[in-house]
Amino acid sequence: MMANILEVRNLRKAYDQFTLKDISFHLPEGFVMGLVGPNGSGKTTIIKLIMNLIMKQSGDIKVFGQDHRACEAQIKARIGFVYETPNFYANLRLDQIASLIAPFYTAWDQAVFRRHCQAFQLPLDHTFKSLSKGMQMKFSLALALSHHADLLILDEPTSGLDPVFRREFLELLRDHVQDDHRAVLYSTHITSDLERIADYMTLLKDGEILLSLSINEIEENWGLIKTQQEDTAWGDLDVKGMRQRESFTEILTSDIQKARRIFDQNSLFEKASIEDIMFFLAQGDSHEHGPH
Amino acid sequence: MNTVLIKNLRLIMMLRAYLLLMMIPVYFFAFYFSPPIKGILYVFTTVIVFGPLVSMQDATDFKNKTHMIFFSLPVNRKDIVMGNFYTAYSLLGLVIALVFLGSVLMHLWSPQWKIMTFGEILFILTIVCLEDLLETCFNGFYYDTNDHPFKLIFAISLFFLLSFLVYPYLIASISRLDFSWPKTGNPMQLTLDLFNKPLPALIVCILVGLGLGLTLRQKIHYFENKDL
Repeated sequence: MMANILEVRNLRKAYDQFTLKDISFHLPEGFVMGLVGPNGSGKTTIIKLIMNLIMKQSGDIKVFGQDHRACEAQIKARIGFVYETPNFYANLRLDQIASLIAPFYTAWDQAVFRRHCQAFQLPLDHTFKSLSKGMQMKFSLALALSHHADLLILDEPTSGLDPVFRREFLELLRDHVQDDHRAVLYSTHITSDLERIADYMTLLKDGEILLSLSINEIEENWGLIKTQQEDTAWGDLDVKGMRQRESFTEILTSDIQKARRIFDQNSLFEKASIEDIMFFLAQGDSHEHGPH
Repeated sequence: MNTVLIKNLRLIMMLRAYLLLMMIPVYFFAFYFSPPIKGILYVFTTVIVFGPLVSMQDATDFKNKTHMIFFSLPVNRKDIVMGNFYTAYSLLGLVIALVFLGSVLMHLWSPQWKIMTFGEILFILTIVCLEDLLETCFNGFYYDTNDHPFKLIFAISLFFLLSFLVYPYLIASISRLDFSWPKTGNPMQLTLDLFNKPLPALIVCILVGLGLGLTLRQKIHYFENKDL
């Protein structure tokens, strides 16, 4: 049986304007999970809570089966973390920064670091502040990947990266979890990235999980239906979202097989992309108007 | 103590070495003056320059990234606070030692230069200790009031009022165990004089020790539960 690298249960964090409400999900070994959702949905808050950068109000976070606060140093030694805004000494050269960071990790592998720097074309003799935003992110990624981390936690890692490198980077992440004892949790706005590498998707909106599923399940069961049939004919189809177009209704369902049996031949059936799901679910309560 | 952490923290401090370097000439400059100017210069330099050095408040500010890096590395929060504390105070010790050594050399060169006294060293340490304790206490207040200009202005005003008016009087009063305003001289004069006498110096040493302990305890508690 596959163990969970990360377990989050009933996590709660309240701010004046925003509350993360009873978040629960788990990430098994060997998988990649994408956290998606609109701006302000709580993705970064969850990541900060896992990294113990902010304090939870209630709930449990276990990383590698250990409490994330009680065993903070041991846990972080096995995590590769990339924050959306890399925080390093601006006036130091990249090689100097690496030589200061490396001793914190017992598993630091200088050869791997050099290899990544070469692959990412990072000028080690340049100061951090002289790099572009994309290059700074690459450096941050190189550091995170150089100590054989069992869990990579990445907050918007692909923002600011060019499409070519983004693709290479995603492949790198895919390679990273080839070792079944590793996992990746990352937040992103770019849904195509998720489709390329994620095994699980957790969709957030206003501090709540709208959906946490495997990508396989989404591909197999979720779909879009374009139909002109009245909603009285939909029966007990599980409608997750819908929107009225000029001449037809577009419906998102989590049971496309059933939909095929319900709807007539004039209806169109399509696979639901992650973007579709995000769009329909993040739209709000539109699905409540349809039958369940 | 985590030596890697200390090395990193020391680096941060050294990246701000200009602040430390500022302390040395001002302390030297202070020798030329008599209290209260002398004491005010000590207070001013110590509070203004040492405050930002020892302060952990940068860690809570994502715009100033120097400390943030540690909180994602495999280090306990407590170690970060202790490391910061240790590094800052050891660097202050180094500055004071350099000033003391400088004053000895200047005295050997020309007797008109006075050697830095134990009382003066103790006075600087006391100011640091009180300032740091107060600043740590204020951190909670300050960051909870970021969105409230009036409270912020109040906090800053109170901070400076305490730094420049209340501290010298308080130190003088505690060191002579008399809280009435001195009839002759001024609190700063009395402070500097009294710090050179064994009993007041002992009392101040105990107070400084207690202050440092309290500051450290407060900082650890504050940063172990602080949202970054």
